[in-house]
Amino acid sequence: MSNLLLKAENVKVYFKGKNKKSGVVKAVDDISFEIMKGETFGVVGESGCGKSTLGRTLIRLQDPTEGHIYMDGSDIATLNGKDLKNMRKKAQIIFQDPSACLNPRRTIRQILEEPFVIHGEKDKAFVNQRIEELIKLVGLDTYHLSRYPHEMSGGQKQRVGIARALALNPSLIICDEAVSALDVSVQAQVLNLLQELKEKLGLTYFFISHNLNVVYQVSDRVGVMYLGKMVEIASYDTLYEKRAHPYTKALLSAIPQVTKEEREERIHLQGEVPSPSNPPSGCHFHTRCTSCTQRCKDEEPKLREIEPGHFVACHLYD
Amino acid sequence: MGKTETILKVKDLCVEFNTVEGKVNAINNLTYSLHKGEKLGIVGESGSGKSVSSLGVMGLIPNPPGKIVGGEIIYKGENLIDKTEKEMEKIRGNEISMIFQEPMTSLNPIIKCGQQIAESLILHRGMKKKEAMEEAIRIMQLVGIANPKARAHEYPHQMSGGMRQRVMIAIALACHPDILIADEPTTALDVTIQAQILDLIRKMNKELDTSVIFITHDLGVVSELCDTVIVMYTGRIVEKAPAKELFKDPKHPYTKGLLSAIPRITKERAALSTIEGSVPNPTEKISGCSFSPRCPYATDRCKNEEPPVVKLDESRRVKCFQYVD
Repeated sequence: MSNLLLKAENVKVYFKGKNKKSGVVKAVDDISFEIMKGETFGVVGESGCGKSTLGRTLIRLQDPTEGHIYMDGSDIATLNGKDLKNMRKKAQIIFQDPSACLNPRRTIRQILEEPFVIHGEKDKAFVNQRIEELIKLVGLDTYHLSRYPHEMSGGQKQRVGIARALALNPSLIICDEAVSALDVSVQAQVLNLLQELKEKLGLTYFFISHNLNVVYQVSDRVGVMYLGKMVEIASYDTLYEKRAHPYTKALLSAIPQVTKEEREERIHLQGEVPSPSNPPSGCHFHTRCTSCTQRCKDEEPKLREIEPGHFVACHLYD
Repeated sequence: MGKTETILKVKDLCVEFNTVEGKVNAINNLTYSLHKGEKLGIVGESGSGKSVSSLGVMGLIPNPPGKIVGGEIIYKGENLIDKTEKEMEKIRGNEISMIFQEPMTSLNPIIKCGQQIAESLILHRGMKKKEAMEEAIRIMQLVGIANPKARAHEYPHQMSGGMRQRVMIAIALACHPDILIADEPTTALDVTIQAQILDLIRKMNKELDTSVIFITHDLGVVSELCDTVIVMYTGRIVEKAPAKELFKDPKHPYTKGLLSAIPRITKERAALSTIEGSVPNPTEKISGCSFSPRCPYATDRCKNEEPPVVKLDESRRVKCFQYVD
């Protein structure tokens, strides 16, 4: 996995308030990272940390305020018109709620046809053949094509969402809470399907979830976000054995686990995530951190590599 | 555990819903009992009837379309099903209270939080307004709301999700109920906040000796919080066991499947095992065991006959033919 697929450099997404008083929300604040070909890059964080905004920015569903996103030699952040449309062939997204992102008045066939129509594919026979391939690829059958979304279960609808994302043979897929709305038994089916497809088609995933267990299950590398910042990036093994940032430690220890052996000593975080429109000074996490010093309050820690491939933004590791 | 006093007994409860597509048996012959101070977990996937079972206890099943068609709910020697709406109002919020998943939709947006807590004290305890307000502030302190005096005068929208859930818990606990029913109280919250709320429920259970019925789809939460666990599938209890034993040694094929389908944080990763297919449509009539279409061990007998509830030992029950004889 030495091939670079996507490189994000100092990406910032700021949302302005209605008036001057309400201030600016820094949803994504100066984030840089790389995604390699064929890997699954997981992103975790609590609500409001900017993980979805980051995912949407990577495929330009959201314009970045500043920064560059390089993919295949072009900067996604500055693409326009036709180039932007072509880029979207290469990067697709799967959303959380499959019922909300499928048009209820269209059949599954019409839904799957749409990407081809948008991108000007006129060969009807090819499109039909492709649709049948796609529906089988995600574990459904051709008779499902004539159905409407309401006639399907949540898991089946999510499979349609996946098939639609795969229609144009993209190389990168953003999974934004793709399994969060599903029941455990169905969630496992969809996670296994995603894994299978990745191996079969050589896909790369940018996998966003608030559920750490799920991110752990699928990811090769994981980025942890807190209040618009990336606080730690590490490989799966590193994160399991040598997680460094106090927030990562607290977050992982807060997950309820089924068996005693997997349960860790809980680190109790006091308080709540501060408002992103008025983040704390210095390190954003210092208000809840158990090892906070004066320096953390004054100076913002930079994301730095503490060992090969392991990035942490914390003064403890200087 | 020497908790022997049974406080609530649900026996053969059946609930039906009339829908456009026909009658749905949301709950079939539900039987369980809750002891004093016990934390009982009810788990299941969506549509398994876990919420309806608790709404039944509270007398809150919307009628129509829902209807309790059989069984009894015995609380303090009386059958709650026979009670009139007036009598239930005295019990609700006073002796049995409930917290819901989304605090924003359960709190009144135009009444200050302190008043909402005081309301149940005025109603059930006959307190004067001022006295109730003081008690409300005391309870807010108890559930971990910092600066309760000021926050009592805030409206729900001024609070965060975690704080709102604390207000809900404060309302529910204001009258020191015997039973607290918590329906997915942490599902809408972030994990670090969830951990705080679970700690709070644990503390309240210990200090006030309130029995808790905790409904969730998250097996991890149940494993951490509850003493006893009921696993539901298609409106039936398929397994009941002490939490420790259930997670160590699940008996029913559905429980087994469910447990191995959860992604876990372990050193070695393997593909998740799955339960084939999906939960059947509730309007479908299934003969035999309702899990048999998805069960890897299903035999002809499972498809034709409904399995009995097998008593494995004093505390364990499983509804499966594998354990008959």
